[in-house]
Amino acid sequence: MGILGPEDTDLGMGKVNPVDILDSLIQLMLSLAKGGPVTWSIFGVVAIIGMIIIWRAKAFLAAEVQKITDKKRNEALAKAPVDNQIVEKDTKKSEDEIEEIIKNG
Amino acid sequence: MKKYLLFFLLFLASCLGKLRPDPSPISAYDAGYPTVEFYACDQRFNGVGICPASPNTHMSLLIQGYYKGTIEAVSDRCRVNYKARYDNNTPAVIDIEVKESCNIDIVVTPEYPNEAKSALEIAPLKGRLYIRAFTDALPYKLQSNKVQQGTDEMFDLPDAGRVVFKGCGANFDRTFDRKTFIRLSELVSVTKGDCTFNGVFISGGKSTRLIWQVWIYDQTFTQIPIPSVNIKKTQLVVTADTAVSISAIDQDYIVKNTAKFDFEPKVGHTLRLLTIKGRNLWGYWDPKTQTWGWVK
Repeated sequence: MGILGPEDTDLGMGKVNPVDILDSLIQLMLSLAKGGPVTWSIFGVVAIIGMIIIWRAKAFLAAEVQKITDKKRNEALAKAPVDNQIVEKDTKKSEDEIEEIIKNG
Repeated sequence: MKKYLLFFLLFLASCLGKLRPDPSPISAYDAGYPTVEFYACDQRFNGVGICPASPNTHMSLLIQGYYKGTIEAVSDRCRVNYKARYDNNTPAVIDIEVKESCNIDIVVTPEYPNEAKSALEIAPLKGRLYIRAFTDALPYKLQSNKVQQGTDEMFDLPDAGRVVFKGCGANFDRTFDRKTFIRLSELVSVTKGDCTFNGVFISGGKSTRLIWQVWIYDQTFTQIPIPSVNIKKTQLVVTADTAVSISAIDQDYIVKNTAKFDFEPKVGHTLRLLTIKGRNLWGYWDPKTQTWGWVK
């Protein structure tokens, strides 16, 4: 089986074979090739706009994920002293209790 | 047609860069699984560790950095408040003046190349060193465990006798007439988080201090598998899990899950692997036995 097969993809329209989609796209390209320069110009403009949209969307997504990463880093750094105070307090208490037991035999 | 699809997918893969997505459902940090690598009291620790010490002495804490980023270490009781940036896998070295027992919390936040373009979420790493200062020469037993949620762990007792454990809400006090062990579930009903227990074992009028450090981590968290490692003359060829982003040997590193490093089999080496979700693995090369030992 290939990378994606009919059993792998369900686009909400029943099972769709991605290979068929690619086939259709290639057929579209071939039919465009039969058209004149005006058809190609339109196709070119649409393709460039499409690429710009994808490029910007990817940059937007990356920026949003970076914000999440930065937020988590800052939270982790801010949380460490708070966690530390809780742990130090609890550990000190247990140390003192045990030392008292040792002292009293 | 499948050929075109394959080319398209390869093109997409080449756009993703060298950082690898980590399919783990949870990061090591969020899972409560400490993975900061540090050295203290002549030992190397993976995330958690206990060091015995005497009051009014100095101790050196070395924290390993990955790629570049920030290292933070804090402790109120040991007056540690360290925060600094690092580069090139450089470790941070902190001198600690031990006045009393303390817990040092450590956070390492690596920043990877092209991270801002990767659209992959990067997680920080955490760790904790418990320095236990003893004012006398009583014997002690130290134990650190990372325990998966839903499982149990044991602490072996030295002999028959009375055992007391305190800390993290535990109030355990029992006398055993034979050598046995204590289950973690007997001490606390905590299902996730970290606990440091202080205890004492009394037998025949003699006391032994017991210290048990436990991290209960999320049950969905899994460790990365041991990589394929081949030595070819003076080269080490590493093929790690596809989730691995950083492969490093000693201070040499590469942002990739497969790597070739210069390798001298007659000396010791440390191989480190790390994913962007903070899952890690180390390998030690023992030049005497010519074998690898692995720590997760």
